[in-house]
Amino acid sequence: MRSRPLLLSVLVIAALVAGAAWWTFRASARRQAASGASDERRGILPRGSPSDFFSRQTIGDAIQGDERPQIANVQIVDLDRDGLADVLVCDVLRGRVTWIRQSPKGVFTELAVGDPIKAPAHVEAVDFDHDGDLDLVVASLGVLNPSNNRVGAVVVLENDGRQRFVNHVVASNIARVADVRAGDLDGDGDLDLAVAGFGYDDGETSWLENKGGWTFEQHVLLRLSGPINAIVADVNHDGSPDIVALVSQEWEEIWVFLNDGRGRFTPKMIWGSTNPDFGSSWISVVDLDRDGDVDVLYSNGDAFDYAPANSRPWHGVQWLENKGDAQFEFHRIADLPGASSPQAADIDGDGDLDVVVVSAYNNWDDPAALSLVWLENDGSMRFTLHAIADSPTHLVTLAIGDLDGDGVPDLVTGGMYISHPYDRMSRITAWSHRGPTPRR
Amino acid sequence: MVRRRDGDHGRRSVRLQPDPGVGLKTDATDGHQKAATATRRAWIARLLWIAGALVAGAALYAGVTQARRIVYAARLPALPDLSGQPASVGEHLDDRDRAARADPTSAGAVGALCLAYHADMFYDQAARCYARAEELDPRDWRMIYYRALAEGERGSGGLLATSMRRVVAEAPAFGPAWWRLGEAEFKQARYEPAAEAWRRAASLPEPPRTSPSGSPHRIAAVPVSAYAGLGLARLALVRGDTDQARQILEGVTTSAPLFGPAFRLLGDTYGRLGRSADAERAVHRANSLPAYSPYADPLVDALARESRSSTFLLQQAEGTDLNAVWNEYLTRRALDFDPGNADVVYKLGFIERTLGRNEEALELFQRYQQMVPGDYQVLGQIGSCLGDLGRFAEAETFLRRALTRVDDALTHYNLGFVLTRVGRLPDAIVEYERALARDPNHLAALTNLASVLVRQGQLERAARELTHALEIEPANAAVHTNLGLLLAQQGRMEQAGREFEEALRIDPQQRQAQDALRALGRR
Repeated sequence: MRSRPLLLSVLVIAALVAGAAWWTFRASARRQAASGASDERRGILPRGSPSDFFSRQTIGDAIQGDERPQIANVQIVDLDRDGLADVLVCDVLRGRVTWIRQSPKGVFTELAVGDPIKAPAHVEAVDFDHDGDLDLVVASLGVLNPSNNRVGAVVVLENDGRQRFVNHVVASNIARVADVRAGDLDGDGDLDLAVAGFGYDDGETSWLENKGGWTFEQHVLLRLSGPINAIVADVNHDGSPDIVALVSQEWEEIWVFLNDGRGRFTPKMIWGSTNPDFGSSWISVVDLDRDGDVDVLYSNGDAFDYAPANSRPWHGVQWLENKGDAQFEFHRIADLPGASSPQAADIDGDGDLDVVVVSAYNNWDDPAALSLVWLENDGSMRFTLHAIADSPTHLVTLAIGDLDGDGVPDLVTGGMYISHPYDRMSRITAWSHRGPTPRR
Repeated sequence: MVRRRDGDHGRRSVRLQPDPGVGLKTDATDGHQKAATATRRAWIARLLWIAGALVAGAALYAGVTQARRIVYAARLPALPDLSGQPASVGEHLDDRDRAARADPTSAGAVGALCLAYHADMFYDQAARCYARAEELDPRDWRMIYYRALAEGERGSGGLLATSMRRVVAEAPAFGPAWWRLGEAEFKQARYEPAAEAWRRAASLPEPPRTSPSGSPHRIAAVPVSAYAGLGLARLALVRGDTDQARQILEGVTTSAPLFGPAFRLLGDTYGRLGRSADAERAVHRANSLPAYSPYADPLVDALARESRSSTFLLQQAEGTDLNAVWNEYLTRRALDFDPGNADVVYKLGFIERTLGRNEEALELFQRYQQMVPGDYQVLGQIGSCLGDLGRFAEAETFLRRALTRVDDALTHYNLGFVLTRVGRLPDAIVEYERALARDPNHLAALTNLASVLVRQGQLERAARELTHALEIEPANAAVHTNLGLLLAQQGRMEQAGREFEEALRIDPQQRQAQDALRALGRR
């Protein structure tokens, strides 16, 4: 009889242990279920088909014969200032910058501008010579495939006011140029140029000082291979344009060059990945959280390295939050194979900035692999991925603008087909936002 | 305890102390019998109590063990959707998962599952699994190291640094962890901790490497100390201390003469110091060496041996130009595990061709062509293989087909080479010229063009082409020798002698230059 209390206590302990085990098991199961639910939530699409509120239209010249388009960059801009948005295109295969003119509304005609440019990678429309019309600043890789040969160039296409352009090669025999942007970097009133010289093993981030008369002097800021972007923006709110550069290859770093206003720059790395295959593909500089300073929207999705050129588990989209004093905080916002060219716009009309991203290197043998998505901002910088399209594939460049003048953002994408499969190709596609927006 | 002592006292009083009020013997006997019965009962009760306690203890132990197993198994990551994966990856993860769930409290079984996830590129699952493995065996710092690597892949630099600090505390002699800690700190612009970590990495010996039977030995062409040195030099440049960067890089390039990125950065450093000739030499040296490749970390090599993912295996094979055996081993494994992957077939064909095994390469390229009929790059590869196999007519056909779609320098060069071999020299010159029009710095096209021009008797032009080649690569001893021979043929002995001397300065073993100088009476 005396053993009863002991047995009882043993049983109580055993019951407690079993209860604790059960609780732990349930908690773990709940955690797993919650994580599954969150995965599920990311996969929820708007009702209807994935491209429910975008209608697609191929614009510009058709694919000729069995060519495989190599469109490196598209921009939406009203080049002739006729009130209708046009599209600018960098076509590597044809070695041309082209202008897809919208005239009349809804009718698009593609025209080559200026003389041929080898492997044009980026175009920016800006009144470079202050004569009241839009000129074009073009980055020329020289050759698309990686090369240490200094075959890069920067070309300014001068507009005569009637959209006839004259090429001015303002820098040549430099590392293959992936990006160039204009800004008055030395405060002397004319426009200088920030240059991303990708190169291959060799490369550099630099700026070209405008000395007048179409002559420029190059100042190297950082001699690392792989710069993809060099964007002019006032990062530290001091009134002087700084340069934000994305450096890929094995470095995978984002640098800010803080300008004293006279063209003297202080370099500062604001973020870097320790994964040398991170695959940095593009940055946009935008006030994503609308707090009054510029942030960096950043994709990593490049896979044109070791075969096969498709998804890597680290590909995705993130933003670097500007915390002031050139300090930035990293936030991952989505996983997306092959992510490229992220751009911000209020897609759903709810007052915050969403993100649209294309995919250049997805698992295209899987028919469900996405090539165009948008990331819905819930207003507190939490993003949910929604599919827009799985075709055409291999989209490397994206522009957002009001193409049809209805006040809501439309999209234009370009395809780069340098890896198989080649069964869902398109040069330029316009994605018209049908509106009304899903949740205005 | 108190209660047991009281009970003992009570039992002792029954056995040893007679009742003073009982005088009869019978009564005394009955009393003894009763006492004996009571004693027996007490013993039986005691035994039952002990047996009950043992059973309860065993049940408790079994229950706790089982509960622990259930809890631990439940905390292992759920198997991901493997439907889109090659069968080998699915089987690999399935096997490891089953083994870990059967023995979820075993650090070995769980660790093996973690490695499988990591090696097959399931980083989320790997990181969660490593966390479990760490709990099971907190002393195994490799699990912390691997977890940090898995988490760092998607950009978690802060987490990587925190974990690497734990690793270096546990394994302070493991140089790669210090190097990675330096990398993680540097990428967060935490320069002083980065410098401290890299200095430690630079001071440590290369970690030991083991090769399981059946897999080749991986050679680290560049030690981890050189990578740390490169980091320290970058840091010095960020801080504006160019001369310190120069000193560091001169040391690194001396101790690791195959480390191209260090030569390239040294070139930049010399350039900043105004030493343009030294800068040019350093960059030329860098151009002759393989591009950057990640450090050959022995723990990552273990992952490569474990992996069934063709993407991971190709990633690890990339940049192993200095270790062809390892490169081939990984690529063959990729093909074994993912035979339907056309890119792996192409890559292995490329390796075979680099190793001079043209028959094998041709077979692989033809297989690739069947898998991806629309890829025109492979036509050039097939043409080149056929050319090297002496099947010139077929080679020309393939190369010309390739050129209809891929109008690049390499294919023109390869066609020029085939045409040279069949003696169609004017046609060969045209192709070499086309190659050079597309890539003016194509060194092989320049030297082959010069060679054909010599055979055509166009010595002046040949000399110009070789001189151009030396502008591209001044430190090429073979080109200096060829130019010297050409000049000697033209009777320009003084200039020829200078070229031979330059060739021997660059490469003292240049036999042709030695003989030529001897013939000129200079040796």
